[in-house]
Amino acid sequence: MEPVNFEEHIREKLQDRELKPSEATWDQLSSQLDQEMLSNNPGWRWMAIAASLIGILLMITMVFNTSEMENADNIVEENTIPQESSDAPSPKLEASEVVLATQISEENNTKQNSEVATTKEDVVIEEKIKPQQKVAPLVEDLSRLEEGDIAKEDYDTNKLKETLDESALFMNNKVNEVVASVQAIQQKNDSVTVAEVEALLATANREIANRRILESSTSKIDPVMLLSDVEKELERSFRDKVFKILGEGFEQVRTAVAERNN
Amino acid sequence: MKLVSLHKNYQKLISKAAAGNRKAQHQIYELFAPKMLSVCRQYLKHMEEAEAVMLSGFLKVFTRLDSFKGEGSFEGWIRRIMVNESISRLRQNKNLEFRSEQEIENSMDHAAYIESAMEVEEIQKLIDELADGYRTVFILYAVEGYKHSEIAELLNISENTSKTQLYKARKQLQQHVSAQNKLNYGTR
Repeated sequence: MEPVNFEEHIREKLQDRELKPSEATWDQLSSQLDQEMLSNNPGWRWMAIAASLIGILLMITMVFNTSEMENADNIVEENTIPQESSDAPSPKLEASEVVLATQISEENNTKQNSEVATTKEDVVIEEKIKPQQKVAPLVEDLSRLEEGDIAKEDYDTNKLKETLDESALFMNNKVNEVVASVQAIQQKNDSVTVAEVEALLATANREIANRRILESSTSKIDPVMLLSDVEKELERSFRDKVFKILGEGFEQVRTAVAERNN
Repeated sequence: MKLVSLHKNYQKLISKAAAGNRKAQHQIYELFAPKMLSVCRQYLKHMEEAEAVMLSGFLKVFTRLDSFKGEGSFEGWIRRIMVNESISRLRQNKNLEFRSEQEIENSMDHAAYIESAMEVEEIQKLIDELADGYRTVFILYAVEGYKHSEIAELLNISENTSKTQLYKARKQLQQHVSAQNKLNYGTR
């Protein structure tokens, strides 16, 4: 038998040899790989941080929403108060309009106005008059100016213009419109019914009340309304941001879990 | 064609394992663990220690899978990692000592011959009887095919020391084989 090259023989035998590892070897390796992945892979760390952030944001959103709802109730309650107060002047307005109408018409108009005043409707209107402290002095001032009894240098015209604001001018215009309408109806029908006058007055009153609510020409801004609008905008943007972050975080976590199971 | 398809399958598996796919990693483990355990067992006398070294070797394989560029065989790449891990373990145990013996000048590589083939268990037993230093150099040269220059770089020794260690290992093996033959066959 031919001698065998010892080293070649060893090489052949050992290179092809396979030894079966024990059963628990893979489990050990798998756990070591898990530990290695957690310690080295910053992605997993960021996943854990993102998941905890999502939980915190959810809690903040819930707390924020409950506090916003309470504030919204307060805002609603506060807003109702001025609306109620705006309704209150309307009977006064109505009375003041009537006062203006009767006084101005008495001083400026001709026999037609006096005829109107002598009719039953005027009696009814006069009964409705409740002189107001605030409006009466203004009317007196107006009448005295128109008559020219008071010299202009005796009065501070700027002061009068400040007091007589745009809403008073608007009111005055409305009164004139009502008077003109009454005159027109009387010309047409020879008499004016109480209902017609009341309808005209109601229309004028409604227009004055709407103008007061809007306050567009007086440049007054309702701070409460403005604040609530700003807060709603903030809430909307914050909520959108939270939902966006939640959506992104959920996607990342879902992707990581799917890949981990593969 | 079969080789090409095998290569493509490995590439896909390697990509998945590199991405952290546990199934792919397990498949690679199943494919190469038996051979790699044999590699580690050549350097380490005890099976438990060889298994532990194999595990740490595979951990490095999977954590450094991105560094495998596809140049050369994948099995060869894993094998080199296992050899390095085995040598590191021997160093840790402080068993890998290369005594400053008188270097054999003009040593010639003499191949030894044996009368008949030996079983792998007998071969392993003979190798286990060698000192750690002799055994390591012998396995690297005779089994793994490393050159003396590569062995010197790997073990941080000189080329002459590597040659001396190999000579000593062969001499010892020859003595053991002779003793074995004498026992079995009554001849040297």
